[in-house]
Amino acid sequence: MTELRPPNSDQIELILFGPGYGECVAVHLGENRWIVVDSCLDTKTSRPAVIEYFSSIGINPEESVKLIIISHWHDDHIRGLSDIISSCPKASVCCSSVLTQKEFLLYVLNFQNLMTNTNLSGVSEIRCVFRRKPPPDSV
Amino acid sequence: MNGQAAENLALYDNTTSISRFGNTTGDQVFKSKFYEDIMENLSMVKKHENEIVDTTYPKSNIIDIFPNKIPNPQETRYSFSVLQEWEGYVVSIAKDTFTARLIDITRNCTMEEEEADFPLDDLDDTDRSRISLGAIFRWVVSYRRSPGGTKDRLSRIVFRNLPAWTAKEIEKNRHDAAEWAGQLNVE
Repeated sequence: MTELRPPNSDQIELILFGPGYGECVAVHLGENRWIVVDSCLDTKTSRPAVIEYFSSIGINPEESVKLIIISHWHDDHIRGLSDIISSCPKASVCCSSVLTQKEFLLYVLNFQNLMTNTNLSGVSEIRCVFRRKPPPDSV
Repeated sequence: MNGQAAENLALYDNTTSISRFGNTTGDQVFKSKFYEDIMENLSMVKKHENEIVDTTYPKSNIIDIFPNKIPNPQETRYSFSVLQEWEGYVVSIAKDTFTARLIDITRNCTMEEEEADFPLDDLDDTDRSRISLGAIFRWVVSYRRSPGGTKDRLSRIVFRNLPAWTAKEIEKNRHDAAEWAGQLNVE
């Protein structure tokens, strides 16, 4: 098995994660500064894939991640996002202003506990993102 | 006097308040009437003792009242055993099929790991008219055993209806949403 190593401080690195085509992206800007775009889960551990990756290369996300970008809130791009935000307390979170409007938040409140027995809707995840709470085991 | 009737009359003598008050004339009239009633009832029983009286409601009348066939409970006692169950959501709809991503409920999965195409003809008419992108459904594959022992494999897709909220719940959520929006630290 190949041992993963962190990029050099003068290297730009772009990592794609996901069951599809890069549902989560990590970008090394240099000098141990990272950006994370969206999130997906490691199917074996059910933890955010990017957090698993940081752990495997010895990066402390609490210090290294400077920015988290939420491109959109489709289910496959948002799972585990609240875990990432909790693991990166010094990072700024960037998302569409639409997601912070009270109309969208009303939608989240209406649907947060009603959709399914699984995490299909992603509503609970976005609620946790804004509430900064760990996601429940099930909706 | 019939033996049973005599016993009944004796029982009456011992329990009625009239006999205890000692009104002889009244007692005699009452006993006489009571005796006659009993004897009349006994004769009626003898008259009908060899007749079989059907006290059930005539079936023809039941059909008049309930024109549809009343199911026999025995006919509806099927047993089901679930083989596999998924929760899914629709990701695309074509002319004759739709594609969905599936979460295996049987294995307690929480993420969709499978994608499948389904013929639209598999859906009920009501479900077929309201299928849309993102619609959530359950897909259950099960064995059905009839009372006679026949075993069938069934595949059933049921779409989930949207929940209903009360006006009070909506108003509370509206208030909470406004409060929540004000708490977000937006730059």
